[in-house]
Amino acid sequence: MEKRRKWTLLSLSIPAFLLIFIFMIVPLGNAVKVSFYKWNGYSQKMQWIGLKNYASIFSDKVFLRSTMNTFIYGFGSTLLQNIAGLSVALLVNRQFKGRNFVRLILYMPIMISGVIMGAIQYYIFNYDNGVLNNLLNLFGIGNIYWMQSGIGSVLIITLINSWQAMGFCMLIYLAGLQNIPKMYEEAALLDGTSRRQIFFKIDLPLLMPAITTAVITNLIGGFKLYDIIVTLTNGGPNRKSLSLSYYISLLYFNDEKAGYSAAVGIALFVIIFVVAVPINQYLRSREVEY
Amino acid sequence: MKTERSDKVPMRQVYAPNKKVGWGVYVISGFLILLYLLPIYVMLNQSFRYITDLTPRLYLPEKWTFDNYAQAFQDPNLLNGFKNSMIYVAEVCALEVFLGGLAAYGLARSGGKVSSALRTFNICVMMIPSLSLLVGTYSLMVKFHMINKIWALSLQTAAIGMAGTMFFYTSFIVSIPRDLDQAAAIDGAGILRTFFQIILPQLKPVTVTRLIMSAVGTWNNFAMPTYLLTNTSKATVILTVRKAFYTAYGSVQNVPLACAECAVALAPVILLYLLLQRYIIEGQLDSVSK
Amino acid sequence: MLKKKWAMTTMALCLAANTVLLAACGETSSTQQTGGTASDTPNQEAVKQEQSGGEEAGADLNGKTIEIATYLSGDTLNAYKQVIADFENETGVKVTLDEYGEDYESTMKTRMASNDLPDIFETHGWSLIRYKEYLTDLSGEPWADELNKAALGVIQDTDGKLYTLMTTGSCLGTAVNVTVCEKAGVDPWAIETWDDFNAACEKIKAAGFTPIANYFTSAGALANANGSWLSYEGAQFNDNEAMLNGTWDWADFKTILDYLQTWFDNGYLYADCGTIKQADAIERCARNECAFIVGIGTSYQTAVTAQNPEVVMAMIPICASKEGGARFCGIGEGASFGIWKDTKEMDACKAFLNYVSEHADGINSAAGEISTLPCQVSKSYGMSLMEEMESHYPDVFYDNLWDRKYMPSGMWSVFQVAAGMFCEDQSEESKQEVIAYLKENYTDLYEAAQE
Repeated sequence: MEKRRKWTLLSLSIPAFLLIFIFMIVPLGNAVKVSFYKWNGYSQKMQWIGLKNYASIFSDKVFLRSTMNTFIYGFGSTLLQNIAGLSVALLVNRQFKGRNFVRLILYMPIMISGVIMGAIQYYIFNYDNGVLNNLLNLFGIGNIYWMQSGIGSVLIITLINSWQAMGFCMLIYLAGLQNIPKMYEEAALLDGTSRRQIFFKIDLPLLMPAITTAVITNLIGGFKLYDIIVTLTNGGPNRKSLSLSYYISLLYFNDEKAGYSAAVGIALFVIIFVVAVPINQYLRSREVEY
Repeated sequence: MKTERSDKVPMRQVYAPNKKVGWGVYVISGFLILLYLLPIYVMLNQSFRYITDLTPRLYLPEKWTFDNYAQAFQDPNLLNGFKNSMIYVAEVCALEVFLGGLAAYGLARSGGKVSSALRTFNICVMMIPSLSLLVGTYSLMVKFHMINKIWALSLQTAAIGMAGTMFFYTSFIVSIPRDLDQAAAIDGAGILRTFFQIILPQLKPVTVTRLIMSAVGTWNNFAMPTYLLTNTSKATVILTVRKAFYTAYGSVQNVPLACAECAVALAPVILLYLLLQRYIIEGQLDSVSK
Repeated sequence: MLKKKWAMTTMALCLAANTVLLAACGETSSTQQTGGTASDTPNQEAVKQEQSGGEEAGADLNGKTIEIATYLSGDTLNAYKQVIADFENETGVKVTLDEYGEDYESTMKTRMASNDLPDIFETHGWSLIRYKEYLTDLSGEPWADELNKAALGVIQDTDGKLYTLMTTGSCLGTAVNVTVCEKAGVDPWAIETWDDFNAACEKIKAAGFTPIANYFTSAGALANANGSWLSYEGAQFNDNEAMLNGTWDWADFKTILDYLQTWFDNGYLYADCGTIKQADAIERCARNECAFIVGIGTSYQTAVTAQNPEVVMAMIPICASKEGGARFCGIGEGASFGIWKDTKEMDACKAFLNYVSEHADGINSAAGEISTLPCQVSKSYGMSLMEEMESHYPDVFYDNLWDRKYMPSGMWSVFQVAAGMFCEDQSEESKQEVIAYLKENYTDLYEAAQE
């Protein structure tokens, strides 16, 4: 009886996993297959070339660069968002007039599509007649070419991404802060502990669950970054601000190298897997607590 | 809004037990608000300009005009885009919440090795960027004539988001006491009835949060729709607005018009955000602090 | 072993596909004749009849739906939409228009992959090299004889087949901001060779303007002016044959890179030429900040004057690489429409093309390009630019766009990547890298095209 109930319960997840199977596992298999071919993506002709696509990954500078960028987008945004998010949460956690308004405005960009955001930010970071340079001109500073180098573009994209998604971190930390029982601090304050010490000794450890949630969400988001890059830099200059996701789509639809694109897709898959496994371990260990 | 929250949980003020805050808080808040409204300002400022207005983008238009808005509202593609986006969002949300919730219930309650393995699998799937499977997904969709079908894209999007939804729900369902199920079972309720009558109502606040997150993500989804909805009559709002920023061969790029279209496209999202802020922000806060 | 088996299967599949393809072609043309107008007259006459008997044809086509894809935008698109609306009113055919803009090429590639093409689509210079296998032969259409020779040279296949209706040709030359040139004391009409051009740039730079607004996010800077070095009369190399038969020595390309390097070394370009887009170049030109842009269509001048009606623009040909060489303009397909060979509404599509061929004036004057059909175009801005150019340079040499004539399909994107590489670094090693990249992809694409 109990066993039957267990299987009935499990069967409830069949439709969901079926969907995942059809749209994620089958394409994965498909991609693995395509990655062994030389194929332009639309012709009916495909040429078997074995592991050549995978071999050329390692000598492909653009791939290595994009991989590095993907890590910067992933870890860089995570770092920035958490620091900024925690600081802002501490600010908004204070009782002052208009704090709800601040919270409201700071969370708002999350609602706005990355593509649109990138398109608008282009006019802010533009070298000539960009809003940021207009502002600097007011203070007598000449135009700065923000997007000149690949690394500059990558950092600006990271910055914009963090700026846009920071609201999420802010909320998570705000929730965390509000859940810290007040008596801990009161007790500590009575003991004569300083505020700074309270923060590092009491609040930060108690915020750990919130931090993990934030870190994981940000990591996933950063590794998938695509939209902002499309409209902000288009991957430039010289394909130096690409994320792997973007590189894959360029290879497929622009360079007509579908086979190689599939191989890079598999590589991204492997990279994500390597990053995901430890995180997975951690998440599962945390789930047990409930 | 402040009162609503303090009814439930009294606001705990960690760093400012007294209501007095320094002026620094206001200065920082003011700066943050400006920083977060800058892109909106840039967009609106552009949208009121004539195409011949080449003055610095930081300053207000030389001469104001509403022509761009008149033109944007007349664009049938934009209206059609709204319709398509709404269908797309509704389909994805329904699929994710219904199938994801059901599956999460099954996984959370059945226990055992299979369930545990599936949950591990889930977390791995959650991290996969959908573009890493671009080649596979695209050629699959082509093979089964699923290009330019909104329902097909909805299925694909739901599949990508399904793992996240399941993970999200599982962690909440495990915190609902099993006694509730058992009581229902004693009353003779089947598994499905238990889920819909007992569990789902418990999950209501979480579901609202999840719905909003899915809806926002789907509404703003860009990468896959670009490739899977190539027919203009099927384009979503985001795709339509993105097109307004194009410089196609032999065309005059009209940035003011593009910004007006952008503003029109963003208006409903921002408006909804302001109206539903309680559910969005407080909901996030609640679901996170669980 | 496995490989061989696979090869065999592929071959068999290809053969099968070919026969199906041929059969399909034969079928459409035959059903056309009988089914279309219920008469035994040959195809060409049948279509003509359909046109003259407007009402009858209208009744035939009423309620049908065709899908058209375009990359046009702006005024040209609006003119095109007007033609479509008129066509809809007259025939009762419903037209859905896909505006792909910048994504046109990639979207069309995806649609080719799914073998689900729009009934009518723009061939933008690739009717022969890329889209041929997807297009219907239109050489029997009534308008085919009316196309002028220059147009036919660009779109006719070696076997006389015609796959596209080209109403306008785009004309690529060097855009000139005359206002800036005057201020700097430069006479643009005196420029003949690249040396003259650089001398002019020097003067313009000395006067405090940016001489050249070319941007390296597009392939144009690296690809559009190549003919003057490589393939035209009096060019430094005569490589046409070799480029076409795949034996070309890419080392000759270095001459072009060496020349482009002078632009960088002398500071003729914008500091941000590696990241800006056409829209930025247009805006700056409208602000009278820059003088030239090499290898661009007349639509550029149109766009500049839309942003600033005061500025005086002109077009000169692309310079000759040495004294006595041909100064040339590239002619490309402008608005050009092909019919998908597997369309279900062949009649409606052909009727639409006929309609466009008779009502192309609006599109032509909006596009401001060369008209290829004998129609009464009110002189557009672009046309007047061309006439002005011809009055100064009566011996302009016109040819198909260089990459579309000499390069295999897919090279445009390759040149785009190469332009980015070159813009970042103009050192000797980088040049070799650029050439190696171009060569590798050229070889690949050339081989793929031969299969």
